[in-house]
Amino acid sequence: MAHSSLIFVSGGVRSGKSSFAEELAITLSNKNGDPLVYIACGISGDREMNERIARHKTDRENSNYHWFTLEYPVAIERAVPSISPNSIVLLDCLTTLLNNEMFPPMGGFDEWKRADFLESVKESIMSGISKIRKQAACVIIVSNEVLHAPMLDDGATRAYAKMIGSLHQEIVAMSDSAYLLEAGCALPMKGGAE
Amino acid sequence: MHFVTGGAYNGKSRWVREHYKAKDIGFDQWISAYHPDGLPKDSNFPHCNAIVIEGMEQFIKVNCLHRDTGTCRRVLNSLIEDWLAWENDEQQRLLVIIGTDITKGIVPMEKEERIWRDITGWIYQDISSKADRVDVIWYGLNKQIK
Repeated sequence: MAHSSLIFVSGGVRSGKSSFAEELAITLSNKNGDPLVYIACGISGDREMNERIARHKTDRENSNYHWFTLEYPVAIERAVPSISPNSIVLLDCLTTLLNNEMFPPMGGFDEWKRADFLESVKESIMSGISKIRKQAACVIIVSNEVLHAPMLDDGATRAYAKMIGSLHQEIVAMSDSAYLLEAGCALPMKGGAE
Repeated sequence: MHFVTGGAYNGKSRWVREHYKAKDIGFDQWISAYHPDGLPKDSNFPHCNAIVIEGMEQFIKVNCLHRDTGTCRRVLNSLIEDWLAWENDEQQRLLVIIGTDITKGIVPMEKEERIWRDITGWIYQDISSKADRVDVIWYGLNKQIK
């Protein structure tokens, strides 16, 4: 089997990263008629989140392309059996996934203080991505730019910042291409032959 | 002078180490503002050829925020001038400054945090205008912007 590609897409709030990633997935899918899979990591809960999820869902349904949507707020490797080979998989988004893994609503709220817990979260996310990548033809990971503000506490925010920074570095290092979205424009930071 | 910036935890220091290792340049001093006693008391490094000042934003916070904005910027600029004078004193000398970009979040509630952010933005502009080279690091990748 050919080497399946990994694409990293990041940007600020409302920078157009999800739209860009979806268009990219559709373009890739059109080449060989590959199925489109969407892995949603958001947990519907409050009204704002529900509206956000609904808006993204309507956008995808109106796009005339058939998306197969899977919802995995944690433990994304569970998606593997539902992904047919040659799929173009879009994961939206890594920041939400990390948040859900680090601060489980049912779990101990202090787990993030333990280095071994953080290490296991990182390993689980990275191995989930690798397993999905092995199964699919292409994986597109959407994430957020969140590391350009003053870090004011030494608690959960800093622990989260370290984790997301380290995940982004690892993913960019192993990706075939990486894009930074600025006001709807995609800057190719690595590769970018799609 | 080489200025390296980018978001927190983006791999800036690692990039600096690897970039200069590939050029066979090792640093005689790596001064980090993230260590409480890491800040230089002096702006002269007589026995060094290559130095790194890491955590410029933290350096600004610790050294200068108790002063008014104008003084703060003046003091920092004269310090940077001293560092540059050291670098220019001998042909082979190299100064690398690493500073985390803290300027793109929501306006902080606390006045002191706002001033910190403002001064950091201004000082980064000052450093960039004096630098021979500026790179932005994004998750381990560099983009040379000057």
